[in-house]
Amino acid sequence: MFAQGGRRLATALEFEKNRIIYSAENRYRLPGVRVRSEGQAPTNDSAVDEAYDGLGATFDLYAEVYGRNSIDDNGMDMVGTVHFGRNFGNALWNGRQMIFGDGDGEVFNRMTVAIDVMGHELTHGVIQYDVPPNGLEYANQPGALNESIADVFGSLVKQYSLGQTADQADWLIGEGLIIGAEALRSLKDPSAGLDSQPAHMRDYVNTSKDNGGVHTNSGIPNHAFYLAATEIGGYAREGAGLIWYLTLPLVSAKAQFQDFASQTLATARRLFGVNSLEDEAVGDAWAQVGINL
Amino acid sequence: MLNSVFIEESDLYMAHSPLCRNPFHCIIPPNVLERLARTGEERRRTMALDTLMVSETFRTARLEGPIGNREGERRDQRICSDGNGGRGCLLKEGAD
Repeated sequence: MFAQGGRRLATALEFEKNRIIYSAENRYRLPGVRVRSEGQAPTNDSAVDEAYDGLGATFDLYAEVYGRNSIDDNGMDMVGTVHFGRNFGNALWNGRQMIFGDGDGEVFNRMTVAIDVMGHELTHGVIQYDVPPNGLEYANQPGALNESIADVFGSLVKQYSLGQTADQADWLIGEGLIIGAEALRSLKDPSAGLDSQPAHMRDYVNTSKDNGGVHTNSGIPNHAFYLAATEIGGYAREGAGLIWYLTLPLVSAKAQFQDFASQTLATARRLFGVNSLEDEAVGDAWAQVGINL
Repeated sequence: MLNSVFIEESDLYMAHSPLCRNPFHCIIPPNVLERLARTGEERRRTMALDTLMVSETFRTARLEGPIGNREGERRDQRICSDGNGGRGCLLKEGAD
């Protein structure tokens, strides 16, 4: 147990995971009927069991790698409702729980099929609790950082569950979610996903849509993370992932890309030393996406 | 196409919960759903519009804030999204 950057990293042994999965039974009611609780056997309902496993994988990454006790770092229950609505093609975090639609089976698969989706959505919760006072503002560059950090840890949840190193990972978000497309987004090649994104500041999109393009411009910090993680090598969660995680409480709710980048570099230097591989990889990664430090 | 979607207002916006400080985030962004709604064939358009409708119901509830949020006040209002093809067509009904 030690402290880094003002954050206490505890041991996962202190933590107790408590997952509760409900079914909305294709209605629009929350939380619905309880269908699986912590420790209970699989139900043979794919959505129920995938949600249970995905919430567990997210809890495990945060607990075992970063010493975090659930979303709020205070043992919050991990709650999910599956079979929400009819043909509902989305998954969301409403501040208290996760909600998963079944998709329509034609464009969207069931929303529990991609483990990184759960990591992504629950990380929005982590950001709420870590960036003072109420999380990164959900608009423009702070909003794009919010989306990017959710993608980063969504990918790390998947990599951790599969035991992958940075060079083994696919860096996709939402693989299998969209029928006929590889994935929703890619940190490795932000232009490649269904939700095509810029990978450099020269292509930054100024728009009033989607809260200032929060799902579009997140491609820029996403790609910076990918570049840093692959340059550092090994398990991304232990190098770039640790730097990003420990940077979260150090940024303000209105942080711009430049602010976040500067803080990640400061964290890399504090953790690994000036001129370390990590220091240089983080600085180079941001420079490659057009953010010079 | 949805005829109506009833979601308890307390399910949309949990501002009274100490666990909730900045709710509502979706994995499928609205621009992707809007593109599907514009370019897809009928079934896809319907799915995309319905998903947008429900997603926007959550989003709008967040932006508008809770209804009837004084302590002790009944909170049985609902938000009804009229699904007749109209995005952002949010009707409030019920309550005190």
